[in-house]
Amino acid sequence: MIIASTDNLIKRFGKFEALKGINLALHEGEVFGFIGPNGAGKSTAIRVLLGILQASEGTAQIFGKDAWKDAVEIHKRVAYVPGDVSLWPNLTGGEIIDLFTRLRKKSGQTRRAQLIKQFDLDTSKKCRTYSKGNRQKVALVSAFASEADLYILDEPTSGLDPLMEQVFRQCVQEVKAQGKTVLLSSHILQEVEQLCDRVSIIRQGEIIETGTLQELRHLTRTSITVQTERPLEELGTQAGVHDILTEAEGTMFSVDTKLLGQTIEYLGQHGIVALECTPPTLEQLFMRHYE
Amino acid sequence: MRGLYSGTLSLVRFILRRDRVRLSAWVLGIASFTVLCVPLLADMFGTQEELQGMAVLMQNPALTAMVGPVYGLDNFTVGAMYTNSMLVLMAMLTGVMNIFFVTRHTRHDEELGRLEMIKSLPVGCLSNLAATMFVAVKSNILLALLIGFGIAAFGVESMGLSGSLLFGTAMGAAGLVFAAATAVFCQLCSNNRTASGLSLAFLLGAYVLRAVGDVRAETLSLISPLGLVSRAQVYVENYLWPVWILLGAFAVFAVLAFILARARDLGQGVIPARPGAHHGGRTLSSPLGLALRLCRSTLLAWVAVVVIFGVMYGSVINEVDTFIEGSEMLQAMFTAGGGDSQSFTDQFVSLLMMIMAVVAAIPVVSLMLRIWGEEKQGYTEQIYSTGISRIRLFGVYLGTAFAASVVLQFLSILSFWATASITSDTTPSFGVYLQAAMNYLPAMWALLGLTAALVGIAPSKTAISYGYLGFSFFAVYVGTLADLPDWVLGLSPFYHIPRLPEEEQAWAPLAVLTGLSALLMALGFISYRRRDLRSG
Ligand SMILES: Nc1ncnc2c1ncn2[C@@H]1O[C@H](COP(=O)(O)OP(=O)(O)OP(=O)(O)O)[C@@H](O)[C@H]1O
Ligand SMILES: [Mg+2]
Repeated sequence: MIIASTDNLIKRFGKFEALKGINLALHEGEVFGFIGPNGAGKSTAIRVLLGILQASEGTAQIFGKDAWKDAVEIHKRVAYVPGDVSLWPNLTGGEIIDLFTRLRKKSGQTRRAQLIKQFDLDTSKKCRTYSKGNRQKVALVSAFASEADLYILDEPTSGLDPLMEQVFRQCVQEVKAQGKTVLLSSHILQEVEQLCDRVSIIRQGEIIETGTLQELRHLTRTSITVQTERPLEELGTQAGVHDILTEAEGTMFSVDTKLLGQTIEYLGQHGIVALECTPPTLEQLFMRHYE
Repeated sequence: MRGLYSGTLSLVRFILRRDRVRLSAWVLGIASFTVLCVPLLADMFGTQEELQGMAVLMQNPALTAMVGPVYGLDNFTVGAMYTNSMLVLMAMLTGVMNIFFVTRHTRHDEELGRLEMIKSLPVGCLSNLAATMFVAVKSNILLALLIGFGIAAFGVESMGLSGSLLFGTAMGAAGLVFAAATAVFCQLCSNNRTASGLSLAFLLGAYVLRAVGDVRAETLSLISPLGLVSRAQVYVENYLWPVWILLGAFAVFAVLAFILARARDLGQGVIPARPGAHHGGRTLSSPLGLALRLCRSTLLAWVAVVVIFGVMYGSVINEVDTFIEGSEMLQAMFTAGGGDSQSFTDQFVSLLMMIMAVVAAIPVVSLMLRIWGEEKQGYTEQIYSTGISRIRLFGVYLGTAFAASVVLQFLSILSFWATASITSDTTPSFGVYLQAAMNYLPAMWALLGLTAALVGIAPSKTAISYGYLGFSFFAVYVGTLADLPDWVLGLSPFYHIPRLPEEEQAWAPLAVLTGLSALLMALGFISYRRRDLRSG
């Protein structure tokens, strides 16, 4: 079942087109990664999905309802952590967590206490005195303490320390285990790699790739270092082979991951002595798209 | 030592660049208003008799409490009258300008984390405060000069250049006292709202102090910056000593601010923030509860303000009665005109009520604007994501402001009537006063409606509301002194309110204003629901 989707979503600010017709679809129970360089339009897309901004063209839907018109209905089942967490400076973290969870109605006190403990948050401090990470913790605790069907998290870990990031990942995995859906925008690729089932890459307001990490990997190249008994004379003419470099210890090249099989077959015909095959990292994938 | 202030000049330029529109608007606005009132007042009195008659009227305690004492009675001049009716109010306005300016560049920037970025540059730890105070001094000097030369340019006989420059200087010097006092408050509290609240309270305190002082005990006026400006007796004696005292006070406050700023950490106040509750109280479970919690201290402060104003003006009524009884000339005037001394008192009661209504309208507008402030800070986005509808959130703030208008008017008139009836035995019944006060509600609602509509349609232009409130006040205020064309006066909603007890009750204008405000509020609702929220 599709939990959230956008269809040719366009958002303009004056003349500037921040989203140029994006299509997204989140399936029930998946953790969906949303990645892209700064200013690509991630937060804008999320805000349209939340009905905070109105789509200029196209549609945005959550739970099959219109994100703008039925915002209130939708929000009863959504928990949100904004990219910039701003909190009332003169309220304490505890007061704000209580406020948000009460406004969302569905939440439990035990869950609240548990999360506060896990995130190691001092709830008696005024928000003015919180560090960035602590403000984020307040938002995360109030989001995860609510029982929602969809969690929308906009760069939720940008200020957390590694230990707290670990706690965050556990929380995501817990809600996922309960069959909840998560939309996670992030710059931390390791986090995305570990948590997300599917990923969309957005750049300058356009979705340039969508798929599982496996599928995305196929779009990139694998690096190979090989030593063979017989010289690889026709290597350059093989389909999908790039950047050949011959050195004393062997030949190095990269190959389109989807043509890996036939390349290995070709190498096999020349008697492989040593073979080193490095799968593409998500980093490389991004580098290619971000540039 | 030098290191503390390095980079100040670059910061001065930066502040001027950031504030070029806002600060110029304030300075030019105040200067042109002050100057343009000169021809309005100067043209009103032809003969010396008329002026002398006015002088007697202006001595009445209600006006003295409102705008200060009259000087130069033996040979009353237009200049003396102008100073009496304008100087205290303009000095107050200059104070407001300085308070907003200083908080914006010190505590507000610090709270938003901007100061942190500036302090990471090679600038000294006191440079930002120094630059802010430097620009404040410059702006006040500019204001003084503009006003001095501006007034003198009209060439009114009794208003020469030296007197006019003193007028401007007194305003600027008072403004600087408030600038420096604000700088002190900004060091003391770690929260921008509290700091500006205390600074404005200081300003109002200075006003009330001099009101009591001017009517009863002059010593009190001498310790209030706003009382001191009157003591310069501009266009009469042109004393300089009050200006020196003001500048001295400015220096003391400024030094104190610098010492405190040196002693504290960035982001902290001298008074440390106390830890709060681990859990939210029961009120913190609805948007209304949140709004009340956030506005609690503002609301209480305004309740205090209207009650103080009510008591202050209420206690003057008795003195007005005695004043008329003591003056044969006035009594003759009234009997000749077919009225009685009661109608004279009524006239002042009506004027005081109008002023109290305008004062009570300030928090009404500011409560409504709070929803936009919250949105700008990025708070609303999160509230909204919990399933609260826009209509409801808007309704909460509109409703709070609406309720505040009724409650504040009620409290203000109750304290006014109570004080008046204790001190004077000719006070009419509470019913009459209550109706007089409630008559102003539609005018306050019209302002509220305008604000609500702006929040919906053009939130970045909400400053218009305060501008309109200021205009309304001065239109009515100047309108009582000078002949302004009806259409100018008519632009102010307060002008259309029947002024009880002086005038007869009239329902039509009240109905029209109420209808208009309902329309504006509906417009606000509709457009707020339709527009993008500004976030982050
Ligand atoms: N209210 C607005 N008015 C004008 N332009 C805007 C507005 N909000 C966002 N933009 C622009 O839209 C683009 C997308 O911004 P958005 O905040 O969605 O980026 P992002 O992908 O979340 O970036 P980051 O990774 O830095 O958070 C940016 O170029 C931004 O400047
Ligand atoms: Mg973003």
